[in-house]
Amino acid sequence: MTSKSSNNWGILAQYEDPAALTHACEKVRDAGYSKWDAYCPFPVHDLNEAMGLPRSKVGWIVITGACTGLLIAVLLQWWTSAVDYPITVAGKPFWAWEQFTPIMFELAVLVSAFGAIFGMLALNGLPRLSHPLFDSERFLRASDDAFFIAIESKDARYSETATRSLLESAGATSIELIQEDQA
Amino acid sequence: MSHASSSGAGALLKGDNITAPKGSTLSMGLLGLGVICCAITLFMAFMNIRSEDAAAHLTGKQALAAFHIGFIITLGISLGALVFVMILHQVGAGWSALIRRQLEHLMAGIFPSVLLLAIPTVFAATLFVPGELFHWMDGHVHDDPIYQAKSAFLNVNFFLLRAVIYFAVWTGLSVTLYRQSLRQDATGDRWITARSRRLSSIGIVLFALTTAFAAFDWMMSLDYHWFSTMFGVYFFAGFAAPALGMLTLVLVALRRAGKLHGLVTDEHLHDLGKLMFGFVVFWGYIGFSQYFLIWYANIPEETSWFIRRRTDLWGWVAVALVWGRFVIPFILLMNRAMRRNPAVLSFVSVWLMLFFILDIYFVVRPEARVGDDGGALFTWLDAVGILGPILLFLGFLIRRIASSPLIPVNDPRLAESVGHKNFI
Repeated sequence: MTSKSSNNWGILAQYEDPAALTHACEKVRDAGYSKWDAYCPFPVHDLNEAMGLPRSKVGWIVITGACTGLLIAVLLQWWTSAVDYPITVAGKPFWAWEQFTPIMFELAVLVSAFGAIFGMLALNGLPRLSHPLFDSERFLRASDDAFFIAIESKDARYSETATRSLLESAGATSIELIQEDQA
Repeated sequence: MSHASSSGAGALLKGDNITAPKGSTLSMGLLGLGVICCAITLFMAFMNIRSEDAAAHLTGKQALAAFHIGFIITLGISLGALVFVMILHQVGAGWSALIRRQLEHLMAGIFPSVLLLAIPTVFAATLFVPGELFHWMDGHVHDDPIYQAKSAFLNVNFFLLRAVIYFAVWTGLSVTLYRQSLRQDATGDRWITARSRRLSSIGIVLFALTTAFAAFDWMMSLDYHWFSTMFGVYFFAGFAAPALGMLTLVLVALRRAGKLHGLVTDEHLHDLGKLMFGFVVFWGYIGFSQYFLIWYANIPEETSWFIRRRTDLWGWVAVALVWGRFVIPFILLMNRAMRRNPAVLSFVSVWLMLFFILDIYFVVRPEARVGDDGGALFTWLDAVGILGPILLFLGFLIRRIASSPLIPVNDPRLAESVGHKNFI
């Protein structure tokens, strides 16, 4: 590897509007790239399909969390109320599903909420303190009024010239090479 | 919103695609069968109910209760449609413009169908055989201190007055909203949308009060010792998901008949599936909360209602409700692919309707008894009595669906609804 290519993080291309972005994403997807992403200031319909993204896996983490929470609640209450330290309260049975249901519900919700938040963060690779794209002046507009595609040089199909011409032919209004973080 | 589909939508929004077939054979068949079922049930009810013979007396009471259940089912479905129409107006929903007309058809069932179905049990039974359906109307209970404490509310005159008020409110809201929607079809006046919205904001409040009190009057007061402050919400939570299920069935049937092509898509059904899922959970939450508070407080006046419903065969019905009204539809609707599948959604809709009937059966039917004898849990008369009102309701519904365009053709939010997509 030459020092130049190891410094190159990837390519950033800007598009005019959501329709152009969606169209360009379809082209990048069909060209078989895998290490790339699209950036826009608001959610764009159909972008998931245009990028060829699979369904998020967060749901499976959430349901695992829900089942775990439910199980913990049952074991916790069964052990404390019916086995280890049974106390008669208002003549209620030591073990009854009625009185344990609120805790079962709450713990299932709590652990699945943890699953949703932390699962989402983990799958997104967050938290992350810096990103090479933040060096680009132009990229600031991604949270305002501009639409971008960035393809990483780590992608097996990446080549500075071919990738650039693909993005240009897809209607990019500007193209920028992004360097790796200097530090 | 500039969707590719809106350019081609003009052709879809015309003619055959948005007009239902007359379906007169089907509707006449349903109406004929419904009339026969209702006639048999009411004949059995009013002929037997004054009998000296305990068995015949019980048959009469059971028949009256069965008809009452059928009436409550049709009431619940129309009220569910009414409140969703008002909610959609109130929040200014765009996605639902295409499906609102079918909700309006369901909602319009309140007048006159459901009002007619209320006559035998709410009005006639109260005036001619008082005490047979609503036990507290029997003069013998008037020494009961519990009745005396409630008699300011539970007396025949006020009961009938309230029934008139409920129907006046529901008829006023549903007929006005229905007529305004049809007028917009004809005139294209966009301000009708704003007027409907304004009416809905008051309507939702009136709906909440009348529905809750109707549930107190027509179901909770069947056992006048018992009370549960959340019973009104329990009724609402019960009919919300089946009403959406009924809408789903109407839409799927219309699509099967080749209507609404390219208009009502799996995306709209997906949203209905999400709402159904939500209200399935809501029923589970309300049903559990009502039971749980009474179980925990353990006050005899309150527990008697549940004890009757947790002993013998009724105990199995209670278990069936927990699984059938909550656990199974909860699991079926949890998955996105299932919610987007019209066949699965139709199955769940029919399922929810059946368990809605069982739910109301569970509330009403144990109170049909002579002394402490409730007789058989289920007889052929129960099936006929419940079916009668439902068949009549469906017969009138099919006629209404054929009477106007299948979508509100001049709704200002129509373009937003065509090509509607879900983000997730």
